[in-house]
Amino acid sequence: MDELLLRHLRKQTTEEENAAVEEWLRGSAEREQALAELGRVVEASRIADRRIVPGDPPAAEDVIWRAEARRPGSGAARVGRRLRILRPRRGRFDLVAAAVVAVVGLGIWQVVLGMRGDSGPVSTTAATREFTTGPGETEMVRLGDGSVIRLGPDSRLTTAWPTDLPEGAAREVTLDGEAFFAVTSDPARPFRVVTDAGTAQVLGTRFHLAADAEELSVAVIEGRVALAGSDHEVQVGAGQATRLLRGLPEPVGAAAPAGSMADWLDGFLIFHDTPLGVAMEEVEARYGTDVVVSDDALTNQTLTMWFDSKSLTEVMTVVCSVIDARCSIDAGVVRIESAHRGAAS
Amino acid sequence: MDLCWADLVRYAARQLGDVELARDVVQEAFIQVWERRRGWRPRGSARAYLYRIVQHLVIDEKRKQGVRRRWAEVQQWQDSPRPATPAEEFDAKVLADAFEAAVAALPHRRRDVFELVFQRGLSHAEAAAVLDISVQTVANQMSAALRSVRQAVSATQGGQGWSG
Repeated sequence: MDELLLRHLRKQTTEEENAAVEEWLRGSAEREQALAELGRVVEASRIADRRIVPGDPPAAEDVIWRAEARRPGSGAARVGRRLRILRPRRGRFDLVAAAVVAVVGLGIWQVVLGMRGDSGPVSTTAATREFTTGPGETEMVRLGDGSVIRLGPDSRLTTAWPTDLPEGAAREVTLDGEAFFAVTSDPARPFRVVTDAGTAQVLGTRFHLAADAEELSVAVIEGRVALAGSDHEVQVGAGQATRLLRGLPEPVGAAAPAGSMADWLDGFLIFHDTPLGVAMEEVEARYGTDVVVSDDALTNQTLTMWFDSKSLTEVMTVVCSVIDARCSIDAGVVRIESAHRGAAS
Repeated sequence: MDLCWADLVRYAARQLGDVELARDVVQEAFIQVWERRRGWRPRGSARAYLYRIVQHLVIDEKRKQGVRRRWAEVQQWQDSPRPATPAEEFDAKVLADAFEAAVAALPHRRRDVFELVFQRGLSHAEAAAVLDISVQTVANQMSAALRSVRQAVSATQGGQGWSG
């Protein structure tokens, strides 16, 4: 009975179980007292827990990099000796989830990334979360649907939607300022960015958005975004950019490379369900290198990860570990091949 | 949003009496999870698997460091927000102190079970897998632990009723 009462106190019981508890409580006055005592223990446990401040988790790519760096024979091992101790990232970015999930064969890792440690009840009400940055500051924000946002300087982002958002309803955030979005695809729940100057709606993509009272500009890296003012709408595809000025769209032009869209995006690299081929084109542009993928099967892999001011070696070590590939960097050329290539069948 | 990181750090911190060390231990657990990912077979709970790794690392760390402090004596992590009024602060402190002292006084194995099941929310089966004991032993230890802690916490009421 204790187990049921505990779950009841933590609001984790079903209606049927609640009825069973109510029925049990009617049995005697002592039972109410017992429940009250148990409630006090739960409260004491909660207060004691608050005394321990766990801090922010490390980013996944750092965990993977460190694991690879100490693997005997790893190409990263030499560099790894110079690694500093892991430092948790600042901000509200969640767990190791920060970054890497991808693809195949990750088993437990994916489970860990998706695992909620909060044993409390799942909230079904929309909790408003607001993120703000000052001059020169940026912040990483990870939303409940897996989308990742890098909020630019002097900006404010607000989000509020229930964890059980029904199909057809939009995942809506409001933005004042600028941000880079990597949105998780969910055709049944479109993602919408509301600004004073108009609205951007997407299904799943990566794009940079800047908004103030009169102007909303977008540059799309991957996917498609629809900008809507009061009377006009304009569609923007991958590699394109445009803006709404006082509600009127300007002609669609070519987008700047991802790292050049804003000063605060320099050194920042993010992939979100991004095909390896597309991701490696960005790596080539960012690091001025050539990337050769020698196995067609690998190009179907997708990457979900981000890096901030990492070297080419660090980026490729994590990428190749996640997709289970062998990588080498020689004379400015990165070569990627399957780790199983040439193995006896 | 609180993911498994926070629970694991709290679990390790209560055993090690050092939050910074607990963070290092949980980071190491994540690294080991990554290293072992190919060999993992989903026979049991992933959460139990992760706690088991942390548990082993904690034991190693205790051996290395000779940690003998009881976590109840370590108050260095008390930098959490305080309740609004002195009366509430006092009540919360008394309550939490009594709770921590009662948990610290439990026999070693019973305390482990209580930490995993009551404070971290693992099922009896998961706790059994982490500690390598039977589910029935978990149930027995949990029942005895809860009885002890409940008595200690109730004693802080001074004979008055609790309104929740």
